[in-house]
Amino acid sequence: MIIIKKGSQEYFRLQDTGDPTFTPYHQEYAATGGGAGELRISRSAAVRLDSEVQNNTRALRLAGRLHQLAVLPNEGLLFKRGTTPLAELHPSGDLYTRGKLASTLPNPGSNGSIGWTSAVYAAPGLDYTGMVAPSEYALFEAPTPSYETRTIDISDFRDVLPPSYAWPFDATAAPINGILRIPNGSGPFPIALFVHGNHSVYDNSTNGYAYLLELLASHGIIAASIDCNFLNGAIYGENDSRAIVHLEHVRQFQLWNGQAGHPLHNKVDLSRVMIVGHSRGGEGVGHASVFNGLASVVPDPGDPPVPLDGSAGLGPYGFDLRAVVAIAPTDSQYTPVTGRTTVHDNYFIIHGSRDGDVWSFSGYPTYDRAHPVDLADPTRDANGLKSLLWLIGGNHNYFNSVWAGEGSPTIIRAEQENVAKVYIGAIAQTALLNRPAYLNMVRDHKEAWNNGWIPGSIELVSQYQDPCRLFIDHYEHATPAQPSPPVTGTLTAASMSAAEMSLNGSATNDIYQETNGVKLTWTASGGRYTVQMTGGLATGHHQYLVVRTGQSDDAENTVGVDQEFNITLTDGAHSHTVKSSDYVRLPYPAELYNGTRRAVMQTLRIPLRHFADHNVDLAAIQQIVLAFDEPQIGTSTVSGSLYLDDIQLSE
Amino acid sequence: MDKPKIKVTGVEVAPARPDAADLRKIKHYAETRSKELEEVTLVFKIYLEALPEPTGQAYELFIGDHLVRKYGSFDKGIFFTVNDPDLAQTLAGQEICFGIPGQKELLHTGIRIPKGEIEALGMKATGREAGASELPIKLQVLSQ
Repeated sequence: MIIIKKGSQEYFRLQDTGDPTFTPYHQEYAATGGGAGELRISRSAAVRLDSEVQNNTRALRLAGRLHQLAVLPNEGLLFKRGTTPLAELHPSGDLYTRGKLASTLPNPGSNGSIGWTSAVYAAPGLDYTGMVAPSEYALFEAPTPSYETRTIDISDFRDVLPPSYAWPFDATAAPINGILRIPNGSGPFPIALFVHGNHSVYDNSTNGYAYLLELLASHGIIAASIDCNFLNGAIYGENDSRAIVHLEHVRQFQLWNGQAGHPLHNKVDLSRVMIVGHSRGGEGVGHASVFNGLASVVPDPGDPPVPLDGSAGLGPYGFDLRAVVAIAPTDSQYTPVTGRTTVHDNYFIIHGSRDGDVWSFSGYPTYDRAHPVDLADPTRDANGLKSLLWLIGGNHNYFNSVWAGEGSPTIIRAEQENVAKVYIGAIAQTALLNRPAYLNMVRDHKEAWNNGWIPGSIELVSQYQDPCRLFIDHYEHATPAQPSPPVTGTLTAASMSAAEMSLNGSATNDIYQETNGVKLTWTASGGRYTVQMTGGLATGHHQYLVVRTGQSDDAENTVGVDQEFNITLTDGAHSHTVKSSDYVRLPYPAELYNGTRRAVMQTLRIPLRHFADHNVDLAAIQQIVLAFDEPQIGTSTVSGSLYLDDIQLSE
Repeated sequence: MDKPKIKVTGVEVAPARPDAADLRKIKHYAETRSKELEEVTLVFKIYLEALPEPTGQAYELFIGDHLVRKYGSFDKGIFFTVNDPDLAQTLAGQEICFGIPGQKELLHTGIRIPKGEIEALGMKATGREAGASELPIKLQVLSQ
């Protein structure tokens, strides 16, 4: 038996059987010399291990920094009995036994143990008295001491702020205003900056994400919600401005971090930055991802370049954006001169099916454009991952606590806020606090159901693409009915139709993506869609077979009824078949608030070991067969229609 | 198919004094085209029966085939500005249309940008008689 204690508190007990008993472990300590929340120690700064046997129990003591700072070696600790590994204590503090996470992960939507303080930051000298809704913005007239900021000139992007609202400044002096939650402690802490979207200026939209700021601050993240209200109104094309303002807020924290004597001096971990935007702000974070890498930008065709290198007051940027999160985003209201924005960083989207504003789910094309296959180098890994969460029944405004409801939600505000907390909390834990176990929830929303973080009554559809993926077929190459290079072979359909097509329908179609794919239709059992690979495909280091697929709204499907199919992998000598429904649900397309049905595909990730366990040789996969013999779930009807895209091997 | 719920009641094009950002653009156009351009900003004011709601989604504004990349609002409608005389000439006489992102069908208002007005105002290759400094600033144009 192995027991790990900190002082007198027991953290972990590993039975001789390998079964663990785990006391929930909290890692929210400020680790000097490391990132906030990150547990690490260099090899040279060895933890001293003492052990002794008392009463037939071996006690293991990790002396030194572990006790004060909760640090563990970067490589973690591997526990063995003889030569057999029993368990691994990951550097993040999570415990794995027999390859599975054994420790109970705290709900990422629940508050952590760290206290926090509030602050308001604002440009000096603001007076909203003459503005149409002065009381909403009065907080920016008296920022917290030491939290005065500056103004920026965004007039190269937006020449005139909506004059009807009588803002006490113009576009040459846009203020850096926001509300802030600061964790207690010495830091340095990662930062997460939220921005609202377009809304009536009679509400200060900045305040609507306090519930998320407080969640993140309680886990050791400096969290702010920024003021872009001055860009709101009956306005269009200003999302480049929102991006610039967002990046300038990150820069504000960089300035404070370097400013001796400031309360945030050396407390901001600028190597871990997350930006989150809602609605048009959600589009803006995509542009910010692009602008973040530029030394100058041409806002509109023919215009002079605007320096972003600090020479004219904006920039420099180049921040380490660990996550770009878009909540119910718009898409391409602003289009860079280089073409529609392609997000360069880890990218996450959450959107409600009953959105009464951005009802078309226009972020779906944005998601499709992110981290695409490089047709010139198709085996190259992507720069980052991407993930999508389609919240059935959610609307647009409930993500912002001060915006009145709209659309036709079928869940209540508290439920929607909880989903936002769990999803964004999991992203922050993964991207900012180095807790990769939470990535499982991002990969597969069932993790949230199974852990009770989100009730099973809340329906979800999700997608995930790992940066390390090999496309068997992305359907973007010129030759139909063949896998995508470098994979060679054929794709055939038997006793069913397989129509390769653009999935880029209009917003009023059931499918509204930005990629090509295939539509599979069957009207009786026996349908087969077969990927035959020449010479056998070695799966290499990839661990999953991945496709994304979803029902169309065609008559072959039944409203409200799930579909399923079988997947067979064959190496020529051995084969094994699994059911899609053992991994994910494939529900009928959700109804949007205006009655349109939207087919949002679900990522299906099947561990390759499920095939290897049945002697399928993963070094020589010859066939992938999708078989359509199963009746629609809960019925005796065998017919269906699925959109399918991106057959991959993946991490 | 949704259609834009928007009604145009009038259109006006007025010259305004360029601000610093406008002047940077005008100077750039002049340099890249190797010709002198007048320092004037045209403000295109499109009067509406009611302003669109300030929401995430927005109507796309087309003048003829040209998508107006950016517009703002004033008390009685929406507006956009043009510093490029070539673009101004292109827009003259074209119909004002609205679209919804992701949908191909446009709302044709039947109302056109006044051609003569742009030509009369002129964005001449040489300076106007009244200097740019005597023109109203954009906020004044929008409040008129």
